[in-house]
Amino acid sequence: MIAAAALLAVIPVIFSLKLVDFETAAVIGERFLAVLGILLISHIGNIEENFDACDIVYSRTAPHVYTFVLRLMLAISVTFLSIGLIVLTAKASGGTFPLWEIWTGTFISALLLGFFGMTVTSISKSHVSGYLLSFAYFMFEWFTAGRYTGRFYLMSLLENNFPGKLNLLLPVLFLALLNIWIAAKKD
Amino acid sequence: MFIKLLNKEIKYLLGSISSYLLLVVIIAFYFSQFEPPGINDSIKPVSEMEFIYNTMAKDYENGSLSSNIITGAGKELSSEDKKAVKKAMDNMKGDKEVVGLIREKYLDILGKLDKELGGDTYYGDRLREEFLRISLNYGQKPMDDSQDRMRIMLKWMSLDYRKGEIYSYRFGMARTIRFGENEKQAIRDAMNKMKAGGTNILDFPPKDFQDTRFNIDESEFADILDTLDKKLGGMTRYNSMMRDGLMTTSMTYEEAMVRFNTIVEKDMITNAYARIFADYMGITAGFFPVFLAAFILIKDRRRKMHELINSRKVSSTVYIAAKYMSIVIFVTVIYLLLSTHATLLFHNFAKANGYRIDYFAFYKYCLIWVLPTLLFTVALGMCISIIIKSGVPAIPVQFFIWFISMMPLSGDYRIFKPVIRFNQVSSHDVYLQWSLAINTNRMFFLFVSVLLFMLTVFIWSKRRSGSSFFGKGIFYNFKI
Repeated sequence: MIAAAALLAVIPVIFSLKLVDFETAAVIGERFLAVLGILLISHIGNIEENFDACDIVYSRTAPHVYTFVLRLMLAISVTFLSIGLIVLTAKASGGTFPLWEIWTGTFISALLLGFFGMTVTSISKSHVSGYLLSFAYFMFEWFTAGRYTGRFYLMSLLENNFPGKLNLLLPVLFLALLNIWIAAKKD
Repeated sequence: MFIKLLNKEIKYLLGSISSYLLLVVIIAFYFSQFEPPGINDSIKPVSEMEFIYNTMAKDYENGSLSSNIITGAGKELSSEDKKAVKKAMDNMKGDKEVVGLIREKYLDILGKLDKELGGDTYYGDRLREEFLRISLNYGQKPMDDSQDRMRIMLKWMSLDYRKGEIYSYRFGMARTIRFGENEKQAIRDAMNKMKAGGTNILDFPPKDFQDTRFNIDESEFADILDTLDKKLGGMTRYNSMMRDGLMTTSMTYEEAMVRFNTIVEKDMITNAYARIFADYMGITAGFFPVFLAAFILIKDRRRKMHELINSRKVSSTVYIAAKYMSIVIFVTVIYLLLSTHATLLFHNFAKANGYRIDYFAFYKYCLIWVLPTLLFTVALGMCISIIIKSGVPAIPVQFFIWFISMMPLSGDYRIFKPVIRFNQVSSHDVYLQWSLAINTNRMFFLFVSVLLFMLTVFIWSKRRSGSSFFGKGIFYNFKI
């Protein structure tokens, strides 16, 4: 959370959110704000293991999956609002970009990165692995510019391709359901 | 004791899933980014005639002209067309090994071919120059003529003035600066200083600067640009680090051959490619090892072993050094193995093409360029984790530091950039321009790595002895 807050605090210092055009907004969103998904969502699958509380938590009568879903919804909401904070600030400062495209496009990238990290964390029971692989995926897409992922290119806003983001909703949904299933199995 | 601890730490790393994920990530990055020439590839520049001949051969084999942005979709070749192409190929080369004709005969052959193919092909006079400009690019070189350099910068000033805005680059990101009256006046002043005579140059469209002659020398020119950059907010295209990239012109075939010969003779090929290899590996070294470094000290506390370890006789320096060196050795071995793979590829390439290579090039650049980045990343990750008593904050900090190092792709080696970017296969002479800055940068980060390591040892030692100041991390009560 603190890491995410620090990231949000640093962005206006580095980028100057005044008079931002679409191209600059896409770069800020895809190459910086999307990382919020990794910081806010990746660790959710493994919190109990992290603090050695899994024996107590999983033995309770209340299904753990309810807690997990609630936690996930909170994390998704915080991610959405955090991205919105920066995007709205840029728009209010004279930005000339379509607000919803940048906001939702960046949010989808953040979700995919976060859910990917969360899946790795849940399966490997190591939040380090979750962070590592989600950052690796992020950088891989950065440096290969979608050469290997094609229509599932993570940073499609950089190519002015908002419809390409809708292709990512399928893996986002799949990973969300997979993680809910894993959480349910842990009980 | 140190060796024993080091062995234990390396064994721990070899049993950790994170280590293998790091290995996979680095290898994936290597194979996706680094593209050495294959055995059948050629790195020698191709002359215009050889290129046209090869194009004819490809068109003949495919049975159609290739599609491109100049002529659009490729035209299908009839059997008559193919015969015409074959005839042109025979006229160009005949039974010679290489294509080499006097230019008039070469143009005559192409003209006839174009006519026989129905005209408007890229073999004809009308489209050939544009086709060659797009398809046959020998790279860029700095402009030799100072008048040309001044002309191009004057053109940029005129364009920027008319547009009313400019990009300023900070941390590799572009910010738009919209001009107020001060900025516009700064551009007017710069343009008037460059062109003496009082003519209102803003009345002229940029293309009319072609015949302009300037009466200032290089030093005045540099001052004008530096002043303009400062008045526009800094780090614009007029900055000394950015403007060289604008004052370039296309290389000719002869110049490309000179560069090629330098790469073959001075760099022995592998040194030129080792620099770009080090560029790609440096990108991974500047960030991913933090995932091991930031948690290697935290895991003792998490497993509640810290009290037992604190009570042991082992010195703090030996203990921290064993952990530090285990990560450095593990990751360095990965880079050395990839260096071996790259060397083998070039060995096969050199053998097939009759070149000599430097077999130590990849190892040299791996150790001199990449290792300091790795040492810094690991030291910083450990230091942050021990100060904050949590590994996660080290990740965004390292990400930020890595991020500001990414751009530009070469030419900026200031001491706040831990990753060396040299994203070009260039000759030894080009590297020499930057070698002092690069070596200074590497020495600086070696020094900083040692400082960070010593700081980590100091804090850990104080904490171990029960010091109340260092007993709790900064965010002890915050659960991240």
